[in-house]
Amino acid sequence: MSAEDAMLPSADAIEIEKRAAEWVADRRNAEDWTAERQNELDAWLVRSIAHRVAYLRIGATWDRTDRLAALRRPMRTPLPRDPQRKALWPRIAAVLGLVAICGSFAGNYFLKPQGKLVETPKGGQERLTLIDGSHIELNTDTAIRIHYSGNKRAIALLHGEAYFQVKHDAARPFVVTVGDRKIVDLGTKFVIKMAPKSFQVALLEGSARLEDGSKAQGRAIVLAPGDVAVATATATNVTRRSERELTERLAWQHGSIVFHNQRLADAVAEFNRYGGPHLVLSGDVPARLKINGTFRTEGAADFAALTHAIFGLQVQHRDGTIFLAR
Amino acid sequence: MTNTEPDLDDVDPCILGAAIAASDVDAWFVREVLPLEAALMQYLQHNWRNKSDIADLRQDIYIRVYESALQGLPESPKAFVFSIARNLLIRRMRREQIIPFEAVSDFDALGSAIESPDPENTTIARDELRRLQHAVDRLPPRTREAFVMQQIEGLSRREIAERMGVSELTVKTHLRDAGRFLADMLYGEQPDKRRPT
Repeated sequence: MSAEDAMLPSADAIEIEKRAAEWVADRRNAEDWTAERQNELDAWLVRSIAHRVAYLRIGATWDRTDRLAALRRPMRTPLPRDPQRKALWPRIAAVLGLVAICGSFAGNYFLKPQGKLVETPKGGQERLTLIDGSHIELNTDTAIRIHYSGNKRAIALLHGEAYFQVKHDAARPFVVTVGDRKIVDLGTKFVIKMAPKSFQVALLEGSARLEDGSKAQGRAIVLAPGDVAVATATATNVTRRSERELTERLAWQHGSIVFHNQRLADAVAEFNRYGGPHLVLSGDVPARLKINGTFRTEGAADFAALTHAIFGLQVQHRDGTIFLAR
Repeated sequence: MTNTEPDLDDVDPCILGAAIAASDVDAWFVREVLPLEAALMQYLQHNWRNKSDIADLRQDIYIRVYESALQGLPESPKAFVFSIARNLLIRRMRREQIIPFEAVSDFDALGSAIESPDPENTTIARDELRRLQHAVDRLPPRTREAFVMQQIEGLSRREIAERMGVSELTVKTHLRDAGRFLADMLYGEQPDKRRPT
């Protein structure tokens, strides 16, 4: 909010306050409150900090009066048409000492237009809820930069892996850039995982458009649920995967890793992303060995023990590193 | 319009740091800033002659407070809020080329001199309930009726409309107004003030 906004006519503050008071009253009328109304409210709140502070103020007022709700009768009984003050207020004495219900507002990140860097260390994870209600989950060793403004929502995935659950807004497209590629949300849930020379986009719900920003005539691919696009510098391939497989890709959200016929080298690389004991696979281990199973992300040592049990690999622990050899 | 004044806002005593979660700022705003509103309103009323500007000024101050807090929560919310209020008034004065208050020397002293309710006191259940009771008592009768039915009796909009013999839209308007009146009474007034509405 810049100085210009301070010059709005004074009627504006009153109008905003009225609107905020309507929202709060409507919001508390749970019977009529729908996801659609919530979206409208989110959109209204995001439009201006003036809206937000007015909403907080009226919301906190109603929250304070929740103490009075402790006077509520346990059963709904017919009331006289005009509730009698005298009959009502003495009941206050009965509820002295009650703790007020604190208002809770959805966990939001409000981001300045210049962009905000969010990073996770190895083994870390972070969930963000953006002010528009979109969710981002960062897996281990991940960095994103968020540029949020009135008319755009732009996220740059710098490295690592992130899951996006986007509140679609045609007026403010949600664009994730990975290098020179763009993924444009068309109302969607998707996860992007970066590797040194490629990245994968797996689309879980809705649709998204994968654009190649490097060429003037960039080819755009529209992804449908189940699609996994693997993009390298020169090519993009899309394959369709089962729902189960897609769910397993997101096992990290619950601290798990799922392998299906995974090459040992890939499994080792996967564990090493999470910052536990570093796994080193000796070159003499046959590449044909494949692993199946579900592991904790911090379960590198269990995994190593399993390779010993199943494949008879030699497992040596030295200085926080686990060596796997034939 | 452009901002030609010096960057008065830069002197706000906030701790610069990484942007923080809006949910934390929301909670901070409700916990630390709103309880200062009575003192803030007194300050504004004392220093700004045109009373019809007050709601607008308050809004602008809250916007700036909230925005700055996103960069880091200040150590002293009170000093922070009054510093922003002061800067905003100076800005407005310069723009409108007026000196609206009687004694400029008051200007700095006021913010710190005004007693704001001790947050601990305001959370004592007994006082809080009395205060709530008093505020609800002062609502306009029909607005109060609708508010009590919703908030204390837990009736639906439809039920309230039926009992009051009015449309649901009217109920909605009463509930909207209840929130606004109560906010002014619960935050905008000193706890001991018994001002009629």
